Amino acid sequence: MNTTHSDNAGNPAGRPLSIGDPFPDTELVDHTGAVWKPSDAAGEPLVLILHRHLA
Amino acid sequence: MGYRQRFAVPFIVLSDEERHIYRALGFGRGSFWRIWGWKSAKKYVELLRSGHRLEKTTADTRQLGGNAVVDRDGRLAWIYAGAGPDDRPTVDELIDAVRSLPSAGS
Repeated sequence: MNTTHSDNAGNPAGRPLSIGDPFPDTELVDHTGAVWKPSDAAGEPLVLILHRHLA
Repeated sequence: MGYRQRFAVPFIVLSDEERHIYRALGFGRGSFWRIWGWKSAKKYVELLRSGHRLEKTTADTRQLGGNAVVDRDGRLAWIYAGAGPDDRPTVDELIDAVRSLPSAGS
């Protein structure tokens, strides 16, 4: 399991991801408290909405 | 009440407190005026008028968000970096990004 928790995880060059780059398999916590990682959705498209909001 | 319950979100809600995904996608921080300027204030007023509540947050309020689509092979296929808290792709743009992915088995 590739769990990376450094900046620009999954990209050794340290630059932000570009189109076509492998998406980092970073572990996150879901709304039930369970650990989830992008590879859990392997084989299906994944839509990420990175929400920053006060309301 | 949790975010997912409050907004009746039908899909998985994830927490990225350390902002690993934000940084991997290159989502930086907005200026104070971009985050708290007139454009954002107008948006928050609209939300308050529609019944939403502002919530106190201890997180970085200047962290910018955005959207991304990852294809079936686990590769970044599309990205939209928001220039401010009110800058998001339309639903149609997001749907088009997913529909433009190669279909399974191709």
